[in-house]
Amino acid sequence: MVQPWSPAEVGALTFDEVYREHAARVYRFCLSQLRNPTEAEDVAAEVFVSALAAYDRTRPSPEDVQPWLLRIARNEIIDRERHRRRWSTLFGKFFADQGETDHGVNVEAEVVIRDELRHVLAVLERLSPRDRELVGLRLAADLPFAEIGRVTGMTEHAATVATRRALQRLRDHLGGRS
Amino acid sequence: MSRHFDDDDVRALFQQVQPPSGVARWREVDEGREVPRQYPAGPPRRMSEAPPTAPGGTAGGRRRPPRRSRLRPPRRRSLAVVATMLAIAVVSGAIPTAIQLLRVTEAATGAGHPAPAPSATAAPGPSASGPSAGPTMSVSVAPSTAPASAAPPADKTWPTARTAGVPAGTALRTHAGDLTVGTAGAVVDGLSVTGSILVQAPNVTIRRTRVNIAKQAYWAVRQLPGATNLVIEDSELAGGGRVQTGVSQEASGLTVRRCSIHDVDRGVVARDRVTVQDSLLYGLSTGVSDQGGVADVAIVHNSIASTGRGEAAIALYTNSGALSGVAVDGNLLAGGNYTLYAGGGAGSHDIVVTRNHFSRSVSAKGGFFGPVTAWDPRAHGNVWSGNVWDDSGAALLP
Repeated sequence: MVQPWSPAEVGALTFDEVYREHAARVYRFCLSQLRNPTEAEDVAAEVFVSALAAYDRTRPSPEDVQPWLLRIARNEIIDRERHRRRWSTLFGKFFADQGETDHGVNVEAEVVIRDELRHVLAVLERLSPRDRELVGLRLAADLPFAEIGRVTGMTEHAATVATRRALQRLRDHLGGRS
Repeated sequence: MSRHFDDDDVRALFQQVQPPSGVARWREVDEGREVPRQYPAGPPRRMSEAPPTAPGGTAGGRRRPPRRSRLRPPRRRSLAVVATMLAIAVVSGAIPTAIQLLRVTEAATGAGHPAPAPSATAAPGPSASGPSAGPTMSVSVAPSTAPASAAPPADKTWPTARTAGVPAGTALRTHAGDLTVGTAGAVVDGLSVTGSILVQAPNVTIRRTRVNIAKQAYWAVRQLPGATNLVIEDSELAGGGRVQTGVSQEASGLTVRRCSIHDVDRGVVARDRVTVQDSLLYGLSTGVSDQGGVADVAIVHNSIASTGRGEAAIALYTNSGALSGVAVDGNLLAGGNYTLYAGGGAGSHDIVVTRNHFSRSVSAKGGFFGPVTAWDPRAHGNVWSGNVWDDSGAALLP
């Protein structure tokens, strides 16, 4: 007998539906923050593994799933950047600019990055982490300002102002290319 | 080649990117296989966002992902401290519980008065159809001969998302933030509220309203002192895992009917003159619970599941006072440590538990430890009758 509280009965998304709906958005956001397709793939995969473990307990409503996944992605990226900084402080002089792309590069992931996107990713790297995050949520994850606020813990107004300023700084950098 | 990019250009570039197949690594975890990371392991994600374990026995039959231990030493130390404090709390809390259990055992085996064999009729009279009429409810216990074998209710249709909550097709107007209702007899109808509803006046009705709170909150609906006779009907209270209590009763008289309450920690916290009827409560630790010392409570024909190693579908506690006049009739119940804490304790009486179905869909034993605990068969007016396992129809005895 189907129980009244089963996901099918209460209209909750199955995890497969969650993945199909949000995988591209999560991966694009990770790519915008990490700039490395292989690492973005790995982090995005970790996001969904973590989300799977928490999904039944957390039971986010369909409208909550997107900010929930992107918050997990954001935290994973923050942790990674912290980890990376710690090691680069220790060994930066010896291994500067080495190593990050040496680990099992995924050809499938690499080929989807066009030259123009490579340029944009390079410019993103020149932004502050906060600006990069806001730009990634706005342009890579294609979120409205209110959703950006939900992911970052800001009010919609604060998220709008901060994101617009970050986008302006991105434009300034991109405009300087020609 | 040089080119000027604007926002739409950048957005379009990202839109062309499709996730590589490795992003779907969760499917292998879901099938129970250990999956090595492609990239050197970074530190773990924040625990508040993604706990490493899922509840057992999920409705979809999903297997528990492998437990990982990649915590950094400082976090391990913090967890060890928390675990030690929890262990102390459990041990100190176990002592009064053990004393209470001993008392119940003594009462059950001692030379007390012979237990009557009454039958009970729980007659919730939710006649309040408008704001001016407060909810009425009565629990009457009359001596008779209780049936020896369990008799499932003839109507085995349980409240579902189709019969509880905001009726399909209802147009809702959005109210952003908290909503305070301070007018006696007010009717809140057809709203989608993104904050808590705070009821400050008597005889208020909340109808066809969805409360979906986008932030951390203590209550979806709070019935403040003085706000007697609150009626909530055909409404949905969705906590998204961020809300402590669905309905907090702090004034006498509460009727909850045909409501869907989910993803909160506690569904309805009752005090006195309460009817919860024809409702669906799920995704919570405790479905209906009391604050100690409740009287005149009817929990009738609901579907209630305490999931994720929750506390109980129905928790009738006596920690803060005795219970009297409680009817639990014709419900489908599942989950919790025990599915039903049945109110046994000094001074509690007239607790009637009849015709309920206990589901094993959340835990193999109904609840993690079993279906029912704290039942006192010798208390005056207590009745246990017609309660069965939902899957087999076999009688369930406390």
